[in-house]
Amino acid sequence: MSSEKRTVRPFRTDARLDGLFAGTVLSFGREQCLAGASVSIREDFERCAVTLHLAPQDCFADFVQRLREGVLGTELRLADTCLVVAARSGYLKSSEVVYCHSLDDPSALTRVPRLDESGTGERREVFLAATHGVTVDCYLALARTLPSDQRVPLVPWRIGTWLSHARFRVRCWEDAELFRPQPLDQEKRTELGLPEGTVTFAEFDGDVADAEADSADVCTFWVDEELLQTIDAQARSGTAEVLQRWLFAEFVAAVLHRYSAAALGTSTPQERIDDIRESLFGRIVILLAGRGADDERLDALLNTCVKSPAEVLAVAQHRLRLRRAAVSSLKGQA
Amino acid sequence: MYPHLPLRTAMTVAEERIRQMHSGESDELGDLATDTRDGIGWTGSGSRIDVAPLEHARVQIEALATTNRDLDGTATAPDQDMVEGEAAAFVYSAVVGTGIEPSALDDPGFWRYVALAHVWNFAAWREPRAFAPVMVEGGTIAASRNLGVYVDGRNPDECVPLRMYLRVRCLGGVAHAHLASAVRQGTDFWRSHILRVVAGEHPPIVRALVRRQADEATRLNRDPLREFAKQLNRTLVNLAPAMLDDAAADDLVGELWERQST
Repeated sequence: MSSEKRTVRPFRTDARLDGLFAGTVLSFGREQCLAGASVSIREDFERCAVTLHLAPQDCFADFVQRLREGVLGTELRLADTCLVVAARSGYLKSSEVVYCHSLDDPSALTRVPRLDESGTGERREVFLAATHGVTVDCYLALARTLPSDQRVPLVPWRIGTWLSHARFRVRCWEDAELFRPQPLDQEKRTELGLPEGTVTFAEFDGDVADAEADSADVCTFWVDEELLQTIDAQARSGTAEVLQRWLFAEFVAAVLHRYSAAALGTSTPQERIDDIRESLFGRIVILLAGRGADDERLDALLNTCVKSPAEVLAVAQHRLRLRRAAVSSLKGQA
Repeated sequence: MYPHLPLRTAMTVAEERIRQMHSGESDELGDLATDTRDGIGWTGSGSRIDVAPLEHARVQIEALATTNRDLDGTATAPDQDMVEGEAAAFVYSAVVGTGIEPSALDDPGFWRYVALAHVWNFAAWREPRAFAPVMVEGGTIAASRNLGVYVDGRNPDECVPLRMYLRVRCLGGVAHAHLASAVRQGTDFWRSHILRVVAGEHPPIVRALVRRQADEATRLNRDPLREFAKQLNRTLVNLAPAMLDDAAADDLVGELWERQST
């Protein structure tokens, strides 16, 4: 089948529906994902609550009003439309409607619907895809197919046709692209001149702050092959979790060291986050700053990366929840 | 808990098996347990799943492969893909029968385990070129570079046990499993038009497609089928396809199919 996904909209919809979900936020446990964006979940994918915040509290009445006027302005009846949320997992070819609310009475719309629980209170299967993650689509759509005599040219008529749409991607730790350790076998160890006891080694090829470079090409993070295999074999054990977090902390430290060393060796002014946002290092800084950090805070952290990288490493341990994972792993073994 | 086979271990075992099959001049192996046993890690929580249904499915699908060893590829006899469809029902039921947690199905390590410990011989029958040994520098025997994709669990439309499981899942489960073997010469149909695309995530759409392609009166040849697929894909971009029930999916597919049939 063709992979073409050009969106050709053979309809006209009321302008009030354009960007209707621009302020909608998917909340996945502690992480928040804006419409059109993606987040990576590092823990509790299979357990954390999933909710959709259709609009902020103080804007919700406006959101409902806009939705109502937009549907009517598209020459459709409110009773023929619904707000529907579908979640899909491409690896397992599964798709599920996780929330559906008729707009017969828009004022009865819930501002923050919960998505992960089925009617019986069980977690929906699609939110158990803890390796490959999930894509969540929010639609304002037609709830039924209109009879032929009610169809109007250039107005949607088929069930499921959307009038407004937003997509949220939720990736998993295992699927995150930022950090992909490569197995360090004997051949590679010899090639890199590393002693037998080396566990990790960061090999750089390019500038970690280059926004144009592919993160995976800039830094290859080698991890002892046997250790990787052992972690792989016990992927969900507490010990493996600590080791994965520790490895990621080592990776952050290596990239940070590379960046600060290069920055100290140049006379050019300190970079701003806006210049390096898409680079490997920019992505790490954004991760370490935590959700909701504005550019001012990110610039400050960037400055600390150069002046006091040890402080940033301490922040990294906090962000990666290294301490908590280590303590609970040891307590679990006691 | 469920069995999980690490990628490296799986590929090492697979490569060794190719050499073993070459030296034994055999295209199947009797023992699929010994060389995988040490590499298997049990992961997840709770008690271990019962893998007996998978072993039972192995016997069933290997019998199918044996029965259909010499297919003539004509329209009157089942072809290899139809046999895969028939076998897919056994694999699907066996996986469900293990009582495995849904989250484990998203783990490629589980599918590597199924590929190597239960479905190896069937996969070798189904993908003979990828399972054939190759001669490398120095005259040594090695595995084909294409072998990995059929056993490593990473690619759901190629990994043999996973694609078999998904074929039935895409149809909506065991109640519709008879449709898994309904399309003749269906390798490209299933891979390109179901397993690789969004349409495949919606059982009502898949059933509507399969019924038409299985019926000689409505079956489309390659080019019109591709054009149909393109049109369907464009249409689905404007839809929330999960909202379509059987009737709505059938209307949609029928409307687009009709354009290619005339």
